[in-house]
Amino acid sequence: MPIRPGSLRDKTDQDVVALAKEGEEEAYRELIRRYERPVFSLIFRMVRNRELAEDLSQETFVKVLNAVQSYRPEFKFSSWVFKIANNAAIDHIRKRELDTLSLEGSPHADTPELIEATALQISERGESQLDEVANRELGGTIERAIEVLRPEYRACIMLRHVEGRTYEEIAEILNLPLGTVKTYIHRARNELRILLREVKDE
Amino acid sequence: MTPWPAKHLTADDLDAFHSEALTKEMQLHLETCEDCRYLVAADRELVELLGRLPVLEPQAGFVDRVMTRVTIAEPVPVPVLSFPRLTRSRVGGLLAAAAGICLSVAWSATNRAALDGWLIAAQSTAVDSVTALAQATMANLAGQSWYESARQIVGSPLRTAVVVAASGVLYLTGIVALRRLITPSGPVSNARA
Repeated sequence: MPIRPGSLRDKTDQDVVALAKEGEEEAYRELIRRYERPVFSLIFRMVRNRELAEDLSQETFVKVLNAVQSYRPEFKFSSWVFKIANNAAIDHIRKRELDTLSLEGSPHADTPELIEATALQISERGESQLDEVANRELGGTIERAIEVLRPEYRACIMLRHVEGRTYEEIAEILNLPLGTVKTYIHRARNELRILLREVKDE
Repeated sequence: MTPWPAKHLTADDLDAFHSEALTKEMQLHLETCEDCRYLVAADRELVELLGRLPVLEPQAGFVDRVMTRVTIAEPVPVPVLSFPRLTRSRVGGLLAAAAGICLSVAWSATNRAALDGWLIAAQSTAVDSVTALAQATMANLAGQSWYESARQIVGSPLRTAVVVAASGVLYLTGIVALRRLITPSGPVSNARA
């Protein structure tokens, strides 16, 4: 009997993966739904291009789901997904340096429709319009500051302070020694503090 | 190492601060050090800002777009170990085999002398055959034209040593050559996950 859409919400990742291994399509869809936002957010903040982030996110999920049979349950599923997402982003960055960011839309969009179509969709969190504007300004500043960081620092800082991963998990995801992860995060925070201070002083 | 509260906050201390694991000494230092107070405030603001960063969403229909490119895994069949079904003919076969084994053991126990005689005869035939084969091989070898020359070469200890050394060198050369042949010439790239 096929699984009803949405009925897997309360299951753990391991349970959903086990169902995916049995060939349940709904389990595949549930895994994508669980991680589409964090994976897309991480990749977008790494590559700073919406279309590219979509492509790389798709690549990530296709890779993960096509290899789901080889997934070993002793590892955290989320760490595996983020590892592949980070590798996809880093590989791309290494191939091509990207230097543009637009929260408001693609820099190549020259009509209001195109600008809106390529603008980032930020999920609602029940904030008032005033709060949203204030947060957008602060968010824009920090987004631009993150953009200046080295890709390795960017990945570490996003995983630690946006995704809330532990140092140990980040070390596993990025395949780095624990000490290096700590150093990267502290250096990234130092750089971000300096950048934010400069913005405030302006 | 500089003791608290004179030393400034380190990166690890800042982490401790964020996880509210601040020690009394650190607290004392913060009360007296304006630089560290500023550092803590700035770091706390930064961590809060990072935590408030919005979650970004891919465009609608992302799940469907991914699913068009995913191959749904065929369930891996779990091998089940089971005994073959016991049919009447199989049971008959098993009973016949068991009866055969029992009869064989019983006959061996009652006819020990005959069994020993057969075994001794078979053993002596086998030993005679092997000895005859070895003698024939040696006679054949000694009849070869090169046998006498080879015997003369290894006739003195010095010549024997030279032959053994030459053979060793030849063997080692062969090993080195073989190793070079099977070693890849360039670095092998590793696939990443």
